[in-house]
Amino acid sequence: MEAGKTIRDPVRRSSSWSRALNLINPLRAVWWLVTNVRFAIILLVLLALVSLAGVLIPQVPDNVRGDAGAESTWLESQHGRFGFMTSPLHEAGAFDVFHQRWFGLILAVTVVSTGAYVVSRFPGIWTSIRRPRKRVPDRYLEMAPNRFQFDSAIDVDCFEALLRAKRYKVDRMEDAGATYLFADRFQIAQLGTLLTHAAIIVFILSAVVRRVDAFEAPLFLAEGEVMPVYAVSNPNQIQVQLRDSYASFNDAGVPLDYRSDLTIYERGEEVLRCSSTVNSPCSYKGFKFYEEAYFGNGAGVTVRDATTGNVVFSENYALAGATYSPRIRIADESGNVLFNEAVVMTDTVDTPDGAKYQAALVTLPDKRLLTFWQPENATDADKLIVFEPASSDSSAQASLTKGQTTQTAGLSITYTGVEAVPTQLIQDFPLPSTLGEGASGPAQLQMSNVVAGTGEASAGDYVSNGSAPGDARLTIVGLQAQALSLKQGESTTIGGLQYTFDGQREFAGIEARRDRSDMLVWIGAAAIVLGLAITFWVPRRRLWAKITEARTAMAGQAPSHANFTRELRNLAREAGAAVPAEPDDYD
Amino acid sequence: MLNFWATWCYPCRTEIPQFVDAYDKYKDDGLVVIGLDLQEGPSLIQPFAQERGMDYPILVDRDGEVGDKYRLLGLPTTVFIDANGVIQKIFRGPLEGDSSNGTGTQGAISESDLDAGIAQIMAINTPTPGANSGSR
Repeated sequence: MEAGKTIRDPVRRSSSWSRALNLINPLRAVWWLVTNVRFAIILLVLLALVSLAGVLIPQVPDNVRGDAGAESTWLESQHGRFGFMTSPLHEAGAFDVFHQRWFGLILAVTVVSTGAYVVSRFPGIWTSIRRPRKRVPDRYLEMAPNRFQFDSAIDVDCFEALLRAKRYKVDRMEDAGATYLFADRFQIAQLGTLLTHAAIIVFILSAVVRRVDAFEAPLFLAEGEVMPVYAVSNPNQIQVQLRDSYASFNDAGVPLDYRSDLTIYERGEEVLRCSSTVNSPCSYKGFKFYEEAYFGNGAGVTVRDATTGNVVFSENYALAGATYSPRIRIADESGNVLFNEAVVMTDTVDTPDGAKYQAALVTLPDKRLLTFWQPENATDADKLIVFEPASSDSSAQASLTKGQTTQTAGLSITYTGVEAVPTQLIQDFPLPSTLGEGASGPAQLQMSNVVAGTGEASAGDYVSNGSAPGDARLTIVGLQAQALSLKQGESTTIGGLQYTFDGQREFAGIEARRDRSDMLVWIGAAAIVLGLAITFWVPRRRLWAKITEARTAMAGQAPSHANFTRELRNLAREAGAAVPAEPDDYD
Repeated sequence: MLNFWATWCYPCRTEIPQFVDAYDKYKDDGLVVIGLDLQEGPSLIQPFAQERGMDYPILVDRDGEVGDKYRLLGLPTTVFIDANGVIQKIFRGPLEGDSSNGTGTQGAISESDLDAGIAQIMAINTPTPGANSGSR
């Protein structure tokens, strides 16, 4: 047997003069370039390298891009890492690789090149599948890379039957005393490689679609609130309403899961009610609504004109800060609990000896008024002072440290501990006219008895999970000389305005996202998996054989990862030919 | 007076009491206020308008086409149109308000601006800024 030697396919052979002529014609030169495999490989390597740079080098955040001042600040923050290279890297677009024109150009040329490859190869492959060359010159049988010959005649009938058993389609021809066999198997698998290339195009197109069409809008909603997906008018406008927000926590207070009940409106009509979680978003018309954040410390406040009853103000406030307040439990002599809440300190008191105290008033159900004093910046060792303003022998008067219980004037008062009370200074809160400081101004809101993770709060039905003993309470400082304290659902009128604490409101961060490239990514992924599976696992084979009385010669084509020469030897053996063993027979 | 608004728009919400007051005050002089809601529906608008005493007509720009015709850039936007149908003034809010009467922080459109706009379209004497701030 001769050593394997590559022979050129006469169909694909092109003479040097025609290639030179092709290069003279600019269009042909471009076509030659974009269909050139080496050029395609260079492009793919280049694409991989710049993508890698885009992953490894920090990229300008979306909310910074386009804002010159913010971009400049962000670049300053990168100086510590990249030093003198920061400016050159910025100039080269390394901090925003995927939005550079040159990146888009590489993508476009890669698409064109891959597409041109598919288009240029398809006719030849299709012809090869549908109308294969059934007889090859004797020279090909002698020189093909995959070939096997021996000096005896194989049993043609037996060989043909064997090939058919192995799922080959066989054509048999007789000519000039020789028998010619052409056998073909799974040739459609030649399209596998084109499918893989098409997948690359689909992937790149999906990136383009994503860049051009993808849309994201973060919506921070309180229960009951509605937000539009587009900030201005849009023919595809839809609104998202947060009906209810839920959260569950473990015993240590670590959040386990968030969920939001949403209503979607389109053209003014309710079109969908759904629940959204982090991993299971609501979907509507290409939009997905992901739960991205939860915030439980919100307070709903409504202010009405006391004369007309018209709402002049209605907002849900996120109380992002915290003050630390003593939690107090007060019971009467019969053991009835009169009060069990965090006492929100609303006033400051300067004593003649220069000491500073925080103070609060608490009204008991029987209208008894208790005053609580605590040193500013109190520590655990500091005592909480309790007294009734009316000074008499029967007035309550006590001082106690954390964890202590004291009996005074028929009351059992326990300082149970310290509690974080959500708070926020609101700069433009509606003010009563009696304050004389304008229609709006600063007010401090503090909400005690907060329960995280409640349900149905938006309906005003507060659901306690047992950890808080009562309804939420809102304390507002800044509307009048004395702090205003409102229980959930309670109202009070000051200076012509009626203030109502609607209750605790939970917030949810909802990400509205539309990315129509999703489907393309799935199609591309399916195509590339299918294409690779077909290419590597479907055993396509093509075999030509010439059998005379004195000699059998066979040659064939198979994917490069197959050892078709060995397969030819084994076929000959199985057909009854005496074929000596070769070293690679048992590899 | 054509006021583009929506229930979700915070500055729109804060200035609505001013439109309610202005309508009460000038409707007998011929002032027409139209609240043009941007792309919302009755289920959201009706309870909102009822609670706030929005007695003036409220229309819905369901597809955003009216907003496009007025080259709406954002909410709130208030267009002052005179009796001849000529646009006299467009406030693209929120505007810097008038701190003298407190509306600068609460309202998107100051009372003085509102009064000036109304005077311009109705050819009536402009009350001094803050003179009617007690009406609310």
